[in-house]
Amino acid sequence: MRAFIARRQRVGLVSREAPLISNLSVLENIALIGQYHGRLSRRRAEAMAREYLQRLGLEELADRRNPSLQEEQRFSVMVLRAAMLEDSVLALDRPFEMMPALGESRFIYETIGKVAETRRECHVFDYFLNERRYRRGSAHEA
Amino acid sequence: MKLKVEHKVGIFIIATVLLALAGLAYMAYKKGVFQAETTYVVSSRTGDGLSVGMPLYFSGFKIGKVKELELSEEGLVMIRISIPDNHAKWIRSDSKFLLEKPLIGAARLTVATKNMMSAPLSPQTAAVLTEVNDINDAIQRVQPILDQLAAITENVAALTNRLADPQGEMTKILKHSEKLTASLSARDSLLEMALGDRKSVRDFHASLRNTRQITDQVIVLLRKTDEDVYGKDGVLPMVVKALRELAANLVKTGATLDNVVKITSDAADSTKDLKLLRSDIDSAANSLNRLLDELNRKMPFRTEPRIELP
Amino acid sequence: MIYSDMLYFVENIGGKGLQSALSFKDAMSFSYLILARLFDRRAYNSAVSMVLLNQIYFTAVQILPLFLTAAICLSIAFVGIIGEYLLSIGLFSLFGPLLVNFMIAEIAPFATVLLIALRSSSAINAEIAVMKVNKELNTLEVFQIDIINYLFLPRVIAGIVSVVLLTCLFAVVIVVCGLIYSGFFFNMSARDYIATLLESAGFFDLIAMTVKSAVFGFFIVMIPIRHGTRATDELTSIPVAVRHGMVNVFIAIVIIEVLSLVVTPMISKLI
Repeated sequence: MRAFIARRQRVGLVSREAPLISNLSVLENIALIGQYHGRLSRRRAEAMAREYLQRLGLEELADRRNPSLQEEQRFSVMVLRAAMLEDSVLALDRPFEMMPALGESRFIYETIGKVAETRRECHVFDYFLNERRYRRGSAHEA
Repeated sequence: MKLKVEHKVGIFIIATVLLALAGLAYMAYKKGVFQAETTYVVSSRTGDGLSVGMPLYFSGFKIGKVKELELSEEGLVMIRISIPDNHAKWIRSDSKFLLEKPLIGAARLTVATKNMMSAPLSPQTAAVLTEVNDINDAIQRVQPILDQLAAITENVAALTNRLADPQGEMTKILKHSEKLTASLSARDSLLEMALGDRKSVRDFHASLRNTRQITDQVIVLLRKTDEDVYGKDGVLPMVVKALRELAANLVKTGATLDNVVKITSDAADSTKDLKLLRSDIDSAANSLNRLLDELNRKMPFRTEPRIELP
Repeated sequence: MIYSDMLYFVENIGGKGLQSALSFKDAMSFSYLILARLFDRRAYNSAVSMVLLNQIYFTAVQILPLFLTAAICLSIAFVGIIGEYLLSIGLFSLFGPLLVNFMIAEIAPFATVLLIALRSSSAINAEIAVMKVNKELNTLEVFQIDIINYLFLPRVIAGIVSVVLLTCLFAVVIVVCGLIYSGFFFNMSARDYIATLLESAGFFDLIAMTVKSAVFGFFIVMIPIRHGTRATDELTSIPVAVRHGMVNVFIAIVIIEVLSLVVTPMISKLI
């Protein structure tokens, strides 16, 4: 995976190794990427982030912080944050480790489907022993 | 209404910066930063004691400061003094620039103007700096005192030499004092010192004791005499009593004689001798009475006669 | 035996000395890195401004009630002590110079930096250490967000701005408290008081005070940040990082104070 990240210019990573910033709210965490890389104004970036949250029906989480989120909520927010990175590929690092209670991959695909725009690449990295959990196809499919 | 973080921070920054700037502006205004300045040039033979930033005083007030010091082609030190325009009126063509070098402390640049009506000094004209050196003045004034001090020191040296001389008067005096104190410490008392030897002191004490004994005896004797003379059965009361009785008897004799004169007047006219006798007796009685009074006056009778010794 | 002990002792001192020198060099190169970014326009964006804004709020605005109370108490106490003492020894003419050169130029920055260090340096140190332990610094790296630009730069700027502004505020409090105190207790008119202060105050003193405050502000934030990033992945490394950071902050404060006392008169003479 590291080699994959190194090869790409921009990778929107969703991983336990890249947690949400705990002293920022969910909205600020998502907006940060737009503010920093898109050089957007705070208001603009936050509006965009709010729109993304609405897309997942998570707008009520906007002002909450990382520790108060449930595992699925945290995962969704992290996907949203990764999606804010323009012209990037989405990379999911062991999503089942982030959500141990999750039985199968439908939630993951649904979330990515709602967030990722068309033609966006998405890569999921996981152990082979979790392969059966991704029923809809290979681990490299969007 | 709850203020947003942005507003709070904005208010804080603006308020503090405004406060600081207002303070600075006020200070700058009061210090005359915004005032136009005129630069005057003053020349001096030496730059000793002068420095850039040195204040210029007029009547004890700071009116300007030294802006620049430079050496001219002629080797003179050109002092450029900047003075705010509101103080420039004190600088006149007859103003004297002085560099005061006090005995203690840093040099001080002052300007003195006698005639305020004279023309203002042109910034192009170089005035001359006069040096007022307190140190040199003080040395000149102190010189005569120092000379006198030298003479005094010489005298003191001569005196100490004489004192230190082993053959000098002081050494002699000291030796005599030593002898005197030595003999004083050898005697028991001042009396011995005065009389010279111990035997005389002992005799003196013995005679003192005798005198005391004699005095005691005299006191006893006097008490007894007092008792004998003035006591109830003493001599004097008895004498007085006898004399009173004698006087009374003489008066009675006088009366009897009067009767004899009366009886015998018819019988004998020539009794002149008897009258003579009578007057003699009278004068005798009178003189006795006078004696008695005299005695009484001189030795008054007391109920408890006492003799008091001093 | 004694020889080997002595050798060990010397080695120990040498090791400590080298360690301190290296640490100092690190701190200086880190300072240079941050200073260089300070003047790089590309380092700024709305995210950095947001952090800067929040940091100024936490460092300077939130502390205001406590700060003003402390400033008023300290000012009244110092003005009172100085004034009464000068009166008792018959040197009241030094009241103005002492108020300006001691209270405003020395006490105001020193007391301010102590208060800010107590409250904010420790907080920043702990915050960075926690971010390190939580792998949040890793997140920033993954999303190609420059840690120095996003985390350190706004905090350092906030430190400088806060200490400078609060020092100015402290100076204003000293002037006002001095005015009230001298009016009540020394029967000094406001006009005389201001004249005395103006006579003693120079622009250089105020500039020196501001520069000193800025240097204080820079170091009392830079040092905790540097020590915060030294935390490991273990939670127990947080208190260790905070302790080292705070000790170094106080050493830095003392060194800067002493240096300022030595350097300021020298520069003043040069000017």
